[in-house]
Amino acid sequence: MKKKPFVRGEKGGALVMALAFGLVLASAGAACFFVVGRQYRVVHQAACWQVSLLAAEAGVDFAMNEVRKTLYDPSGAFTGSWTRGAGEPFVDTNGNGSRDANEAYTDTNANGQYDAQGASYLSSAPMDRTGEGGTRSYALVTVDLPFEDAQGEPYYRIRSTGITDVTGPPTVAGEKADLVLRKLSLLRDRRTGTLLSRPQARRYVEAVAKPVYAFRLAMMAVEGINLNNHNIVIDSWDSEDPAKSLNGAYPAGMADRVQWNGDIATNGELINAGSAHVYGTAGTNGGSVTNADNVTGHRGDPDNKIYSNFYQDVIEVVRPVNISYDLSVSSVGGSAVLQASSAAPVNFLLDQLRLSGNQTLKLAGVKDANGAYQESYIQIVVRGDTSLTGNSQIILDPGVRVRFFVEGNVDIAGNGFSNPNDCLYLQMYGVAPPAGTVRSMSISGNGGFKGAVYAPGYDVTIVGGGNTDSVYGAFVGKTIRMTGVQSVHYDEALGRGGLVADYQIASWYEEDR
Amino acid sequence: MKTRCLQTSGMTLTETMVSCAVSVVVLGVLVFGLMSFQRSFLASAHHASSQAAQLRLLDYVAMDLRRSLSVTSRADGGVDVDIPDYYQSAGSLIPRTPQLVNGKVTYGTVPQRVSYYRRGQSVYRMAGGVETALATDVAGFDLTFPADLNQAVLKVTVRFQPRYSLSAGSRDGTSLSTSVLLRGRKNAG
Repeated sequence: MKKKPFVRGEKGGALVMALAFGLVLASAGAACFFVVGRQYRVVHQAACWQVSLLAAEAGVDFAMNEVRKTLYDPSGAFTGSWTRGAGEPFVDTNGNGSRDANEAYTDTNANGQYDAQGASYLSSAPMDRTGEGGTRSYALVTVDLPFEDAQGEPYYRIRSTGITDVTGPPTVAGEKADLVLRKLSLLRDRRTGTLLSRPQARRYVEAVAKPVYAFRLAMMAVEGINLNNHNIVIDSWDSEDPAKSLNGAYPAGMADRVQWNGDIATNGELINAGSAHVYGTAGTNGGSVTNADNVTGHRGDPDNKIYSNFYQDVIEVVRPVNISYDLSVSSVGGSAVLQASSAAPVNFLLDQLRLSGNQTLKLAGVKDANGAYQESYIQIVVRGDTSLTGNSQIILDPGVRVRFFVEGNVDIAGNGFSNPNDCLYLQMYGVAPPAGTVRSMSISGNGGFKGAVYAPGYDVTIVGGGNTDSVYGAFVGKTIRMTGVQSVHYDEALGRGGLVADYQIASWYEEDR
Repeated sequence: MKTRCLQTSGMTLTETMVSCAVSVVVLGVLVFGLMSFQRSFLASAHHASSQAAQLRLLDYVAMDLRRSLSVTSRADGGVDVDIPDYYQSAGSLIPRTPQLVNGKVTYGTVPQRVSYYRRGQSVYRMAGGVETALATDVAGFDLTFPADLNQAVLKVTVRFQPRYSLSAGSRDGTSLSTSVLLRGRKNAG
């Protein structure tokens, strides 16, 4: 009998070798896969964390848009996806679901009255978008009003949470410092403990928007500024700062108190400085400043006197709405007296305002029991033209704050205004003219105008008649032109009051807990 | 009947030597390949972890710079950043209600200081008295302050020491930069 050769050992060796090689390759592949997968997760989790910041920033922008709407479209602001927060808590003793007058409540905002709706505006998922890897990102935004400034204008606090779905499984990746920084919610929401269907990256941003007043500059024109005389002087003072004024008045001849913040700027491309002495800066929107040899810049900062990246949003002026008028006077064509009120402003609607000769319009203030003038308020809407000629004058009593809303052309000559108060007490607004129409506003320096003009639809001319003429305040127009020789002294206090023209972010904080 | 002769299943000396030589060559190639593979793998892993560290460091710095109230350079080339005292207390998630103080939005009374600096080959973040190493093997950590502070933009660059070859420093590492708008400082302006 023939026996087969003994070959079992040879077959076994080949299998072991193959298994060994396979194990080595599999181990190397697994290690490679593990490391690559880990780095992949680190990168994607970091990317999702970055995207969540973009979502949070978009939420802030979204809220800022609504905040700005409060200026030019109040009824449309915080509508749509926005809902108002809950009102102040109360004890519903009769169980009818609403607060009755005799039911107790908690005055959370300490305003002395019950607020049925909260100050917070909430928006749910306003910007749902698909990001890298099919992930979804969106923002949750709340807006409230934590405080007001000295003028009673609100600041808005915007809290935006940017949320992004994280790609991949709910697996921890990266080093400890990564986890401390990014704080991903893998299975549950880190703050609320809510079970999540997908891991999420969340970024919390808090921004505070502050009001920006219209009179931030001595002169601001939508299209251009033309100063045509080298003897013109534009400078500033601060009526609210004793070190920068003379008992609140312009400190004429006091070089240490006169300020160099008489800034001029345009949204257009051209300023002809006319070699005028501008103690401040001159800015255009991508344009140039000609004849700028006497533009100084701010005191101590001569290197930044001219700049070309200026732009300021211009809010169109509309006639005040939802107010009641005192209809006892419909037109002023001769001497007259209009009485102000120490409570809510008294509103007058005039067809026109024309004074000539020695006629005067007196805006009468309110006195207290001791005969001292109190703060009082008056608003005058002039639907037609306004003109002062001859020796006519509009006289403000002490303490009278007046706002003119003019819809026609304006010519302030004669003796102009007599304003014993600060510039902020006299504000003149040019209502936006119909499309294709241009209005004009002329203010003569010999009347000693002391106030603020906001007329972005008007061609504003400041007319001089001699070296001693001065006007005090701030001017906003479609165009601004100065003729003759005179000075414009900008009261820096105007930058902290008057019309709110815009909102801008005053504080920014990204949470890291 | 023939008997089985086990000796005939062995190999001759020549066969053994040839097989050994082939095995040595194959194993040598294998070992060399594995070593190269391992070295390449470690270099790649280090490169990837360095990039993750770069990203982490820049994310930390950028976040603190964006919310900063003031930024000052340090003598050691680092930077001190003051941020609002936002939370009500240490460890709390509840923010303070902002206040308007001298015309500026303010949280708390004293800003919190966060410092970034390089010591040796590591970059540290010091916040609340706690020092944290954010990155190691750092070859360069540079901050470029703007000539015009009104621009409020600060450029941060970080470069790592590579491990691509046995001779360290024979090749530049990857530089990663970011330019950060100092939002808090600009807005507080």
